[in-house]
Amino acid sequence: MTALNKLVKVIRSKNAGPFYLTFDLSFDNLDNFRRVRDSEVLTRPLIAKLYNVPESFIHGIYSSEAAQAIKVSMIKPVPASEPECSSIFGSSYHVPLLTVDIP
Amino acid sequence: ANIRPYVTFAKRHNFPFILSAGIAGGDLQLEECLKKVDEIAQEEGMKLNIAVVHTELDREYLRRKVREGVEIKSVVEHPRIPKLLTEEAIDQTVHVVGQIGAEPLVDILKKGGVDGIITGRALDVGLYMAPVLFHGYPYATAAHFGKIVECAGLAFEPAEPYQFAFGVVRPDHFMVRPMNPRYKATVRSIAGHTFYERRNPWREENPGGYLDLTSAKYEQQDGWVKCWGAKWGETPYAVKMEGAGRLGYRALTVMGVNDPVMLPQLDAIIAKAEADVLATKNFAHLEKGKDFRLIWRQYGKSGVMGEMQGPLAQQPQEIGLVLEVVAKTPELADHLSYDLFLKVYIGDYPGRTTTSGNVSLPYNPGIPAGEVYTFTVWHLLPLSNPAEPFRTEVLEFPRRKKA
Repeated sequence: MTALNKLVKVIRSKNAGPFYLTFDLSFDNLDNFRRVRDSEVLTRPLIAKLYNVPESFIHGIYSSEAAQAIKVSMIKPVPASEPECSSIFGSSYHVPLLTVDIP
Repeated sequence: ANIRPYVTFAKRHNFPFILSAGIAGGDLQLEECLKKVDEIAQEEGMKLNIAVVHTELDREYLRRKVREGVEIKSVVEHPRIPKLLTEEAIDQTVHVVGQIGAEPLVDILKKGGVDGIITGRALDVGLYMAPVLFHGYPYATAAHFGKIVECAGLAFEPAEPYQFAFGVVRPDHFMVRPMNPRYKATVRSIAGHTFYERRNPWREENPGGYLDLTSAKYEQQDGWVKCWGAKWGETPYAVKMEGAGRLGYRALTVMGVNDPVMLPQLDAIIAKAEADVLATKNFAHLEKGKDFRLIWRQYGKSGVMGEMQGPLAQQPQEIGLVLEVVAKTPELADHLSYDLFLKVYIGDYPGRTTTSGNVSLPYNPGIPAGEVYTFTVWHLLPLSNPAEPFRTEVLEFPRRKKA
């Protein structure tokens, strides 16, 4: 088992518009990219559990070999347009992903 | 942004420039941009004929559409966005703009006779699609090309803003590269760019259609990346609208909590402070969520993640407690801030020893922090004529000063 943060070059969160969050994992090593993609560890139930949201909030999980990157998108529970929002650009929400274990 | 280089270069080399006024792109921001163009034209001794395209929308126009029964649907699905735009939402809206598509700009280019086009809020990709469509290339090419070139520096390595892309469009592909030799375009950087700030890297919604990148291909050719294979799917033509309405006025109070008896009880202390203060005669008649909102952030515990915070690895030794009050008037924001702060500061709690003040206060409570707005409109305006709500005028710059 290796934690995700040891396999990625970039791991980040950002708004995709004010109402959605998108997490990008970028790899500088094709083997690491394939390992994480093929492990199928990043699933809707896992993401929903990590972020305390209903599974219906998870919009999609995508991967691109050309970009060597994996993307997870979900509804931003508190939109950037609401004063309650704690990160108006959607950054700093990547932390729960760092310690996800990949076989 | 410094638009002088583009405007003057385009004029001197006799091709039109296309740009959109920054930030919100309402009439106010557009006029600020036009004033800069007056200055540039004056100082450079140039006469510029510019098509000015207003993209701030008239609210009465929108109300009429709603009354006529036009279904104005939300742009995305989210529990906090009403599925359909209502007159009530329009009433709460102070300014609303429409992201004008490429088609009206293509028409302006076809008419000709202008040194450039300046719009308010626009579909960013559309600004780059317009010349490509004008020259007769298909939508898939124009949209894919526009998407990469619009973000420019962020599609290169290293990814940095304010760098420019140079693109060449051919009948069945296009090529891009950075203009600055310090940066590189690679297959990975170009393909990876579709990930940035998008929830779906394969599909991008535009007015009248979507860009489908599932079959897009990229190939390194020396310093260029060759791109092809994108597809375009048609959808009913609609323009995205963004509208803002004011929620109220904000006041901030910052407190440092470090007492070891207080720290584990902080949630309960906050809840009790709210209950006690809101029951007092000053506030008992007001409605939480409507007349005011109370937002507590506990930095060191859950300040960043908020409701998404998982279990903590260890208990914090110190919490930065920020109370944000958003209220209908600045006076109410100030009053609530002060009373809540006082309750937290000198209120009793089980096991308290700190009878001279429970928290540290670095600034006065209730710092006025301006007006708070929210999106009251985030909806798609269906249009049979892509230019219908966008007033265009061709003006000569420098414009004559009004007496």
